[in-house]
Amino acid sequence: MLESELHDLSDDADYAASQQQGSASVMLRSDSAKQSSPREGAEIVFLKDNVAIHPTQFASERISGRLKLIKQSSSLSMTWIPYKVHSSEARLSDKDRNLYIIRAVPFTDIRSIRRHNPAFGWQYVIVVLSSGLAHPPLYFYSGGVKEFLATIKQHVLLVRSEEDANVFLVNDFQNTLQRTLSSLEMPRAVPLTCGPSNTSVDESILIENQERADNGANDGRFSVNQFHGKPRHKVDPARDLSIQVLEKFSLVTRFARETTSQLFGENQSNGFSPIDRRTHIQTNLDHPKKSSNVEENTSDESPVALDSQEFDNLSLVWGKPRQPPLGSEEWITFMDSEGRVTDSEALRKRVFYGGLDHKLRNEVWGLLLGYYPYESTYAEREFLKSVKKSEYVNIKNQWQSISSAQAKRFTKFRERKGLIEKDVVRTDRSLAFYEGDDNPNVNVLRDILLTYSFYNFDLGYCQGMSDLLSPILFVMDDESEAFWCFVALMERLGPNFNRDQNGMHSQLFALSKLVELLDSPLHNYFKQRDCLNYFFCFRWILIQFKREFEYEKTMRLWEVLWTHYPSEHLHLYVCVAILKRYRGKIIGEEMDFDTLLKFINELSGHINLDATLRDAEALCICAGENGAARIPPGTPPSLPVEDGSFYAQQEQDEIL
Amino acid sequence: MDAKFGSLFETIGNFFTGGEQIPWCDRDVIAGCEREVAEAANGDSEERKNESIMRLSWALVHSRQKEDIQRGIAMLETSLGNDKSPLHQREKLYLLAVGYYRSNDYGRSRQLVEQCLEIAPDWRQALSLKKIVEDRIAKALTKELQMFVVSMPDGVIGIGITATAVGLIVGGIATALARRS
Repeated sequence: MLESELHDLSDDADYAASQQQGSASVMLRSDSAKQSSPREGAEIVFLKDNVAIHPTQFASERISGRLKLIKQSSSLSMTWIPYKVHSSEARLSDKDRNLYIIRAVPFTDIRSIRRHNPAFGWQYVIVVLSSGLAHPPLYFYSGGVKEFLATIKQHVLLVRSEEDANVFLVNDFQNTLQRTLSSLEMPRAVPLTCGPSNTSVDESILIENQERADNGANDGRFSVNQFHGKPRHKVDPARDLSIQVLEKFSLVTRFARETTSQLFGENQSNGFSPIDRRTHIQTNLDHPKKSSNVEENTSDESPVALDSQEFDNLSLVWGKPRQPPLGSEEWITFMDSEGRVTDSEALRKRVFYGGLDHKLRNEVWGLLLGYYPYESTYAEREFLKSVKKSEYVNIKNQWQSISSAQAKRFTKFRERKGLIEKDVVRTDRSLAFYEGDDNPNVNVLRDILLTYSFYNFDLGYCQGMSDLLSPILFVMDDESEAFWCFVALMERLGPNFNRDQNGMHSQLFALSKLVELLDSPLHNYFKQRDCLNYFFCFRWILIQFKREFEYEKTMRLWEVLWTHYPSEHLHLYVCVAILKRYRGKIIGEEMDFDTLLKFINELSGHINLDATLRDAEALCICAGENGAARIPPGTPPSLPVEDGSFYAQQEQDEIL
Repeated sequence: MDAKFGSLFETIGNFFTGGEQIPWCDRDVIAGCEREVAEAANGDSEERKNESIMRLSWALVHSRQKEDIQRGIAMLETSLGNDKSPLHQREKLYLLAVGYYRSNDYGRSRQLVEQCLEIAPDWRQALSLKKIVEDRIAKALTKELQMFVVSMPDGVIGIGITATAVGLIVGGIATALARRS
């Protein structure tokens, strides 16, 4: 018995500290034993000095005392008596000090014991009685909480709460079986019979159970469910909307964080990233036609609903088949002898249906983006190139000439530089063009982004911009040309990154209108499931599906989008086409917001580009003028409306 | 003793007549309630005892000291099962919500105040606490988003997202103020 007890406490630091006071404790214990000998059968099984309570916040007014556990026949009780203090030193009256005496409280009256370990300060224990009263916290200035609990456990059934390791439930059962099981460390082998008064404790435990079991996604579901039900009390709708929006954004951030950590985890564990699976630039570049043929041979998913069948019939009528990429021989026929594009609409239409051979991108992307005018000649383009190069050097020199001494006083510059340097080392490193350490292309990527943050100082740098620049630099393979193509692209996509998010809002709004027009049942489903904000399409729109396709397909998609045929907002119809293609799954599985968000993210790398583009074209033709009318003027990538009335600049900077 | 209770009632009075703040409670008020509990234990009626314990619970969860709040929470969670009357249940749930709010556990506080409002949908104190808790949650979420933007470079959400959140909060508050005036 004694050896067992010593063994139980041998790993306790408090016990080691107690040993140092062994002699004093022994003496005190002996004295106490002698004092209690007159009472029949009473035994002190635990004694601890320097146990204090804090009636006020002042240390000088703390009351120190002695804590005892007394065993008498078969019952255990607890006592705490304050020390005698000389009247000249006392700040609290004797009456006040005696107010806190704990006189032989039997453990049958105790419901639970709670242990607290504050980060700063002493460990304390709260003893709660069945009546709902709790004694003031007992601070163990000489340690010994663990010993205190261990001693109680030897004499009383003490069960650690399942939900909080620092809460101990006290049950003093006379049942011999329960005590036997308790000593065998199997208190739950036989179900406890809880009286009505214990029900709330179990319910509380259940509630904590649910909370503890929740993860990020469940938190979202919980929040969403709250807003599904009718509120029982009057609620300010604007406030609930704010909370709701914040929680939606929180879901997005949590999921993105999880995804990133997963990718990083895989990278660290085996040096292999799923991104590698989706990047086969070498093969695709070597055999573009073969790749295209393979894509066309891929069978589409079978339709799952009547609407889909009607839709497929419709696409047979309107969606023209994809063509092979535009090659050099055909490209020459679009230009006159001096290099002017004689019919830009015909060219754009051709690129829309087939895209470009990779070796032509370097030449044609500048035209599609508007860096070079379609009517410019070869000579004019060369001249423009040299003029723009010197202009680029001037802008770049603005930040390159900043000395380290000045940089210390230029917080915004340091912040942007830091953000950019973090982002470029994570952008498309699986691509040969950007792989490896000390890759000069990564440095160029950084320099262009930093130069752009000075060229457009008001917008600066935002995450996502490196995703938009990366393919442009890969194609142009010239720092200055890549910069100016990026500038041209950002003239249209810059609003995606505005602080007030008006660019994103108008696109998501337009998208909701298009879904309502083109697929009412799906729209009603989203409405019912509180998904009308379309935040799950946020990433698609922000960086133009950059992370949804492998690199070669991304470049194909972008040149198709940049033709602005048949609509400047074709990317919105691409969104609708993808949602329609998977509507059966979305509705069939009754996806709510967080499930839908996860599903959309997992679609990455699994979307059939050619089929989607055919669908998008068909949808755009179906929507016709009705579709165009539902897209607000100035919605990106349309150029901004000249007057500022539609999206007046807000004073967000002041708030930030 | 009368002075102590005067201070207590004054605090409660300020709460009912004042603005949106949750009142604080000093240690001397707590000591007064302690004495009341001790005196009630000597032969007073059960109802009187329970009332004194409730007053002590109220004082504890409104304390500035964390250990007092923990003690109040422990008392309320234990006594929640002792008394099933809706009036007492709602009061205890409300006080628990205050205790968890003061312990910075806003999710739990919000849950409890929602349960409280299920019992008493128009209780002004609980509606007021709900607003305070949700404001705090909104702040925490905004902060989380800002940290996300800074700490997760691979994130695809632009920096402007926090401005959106802030704008929406301001819009919401402005709307609330407009309705009030």
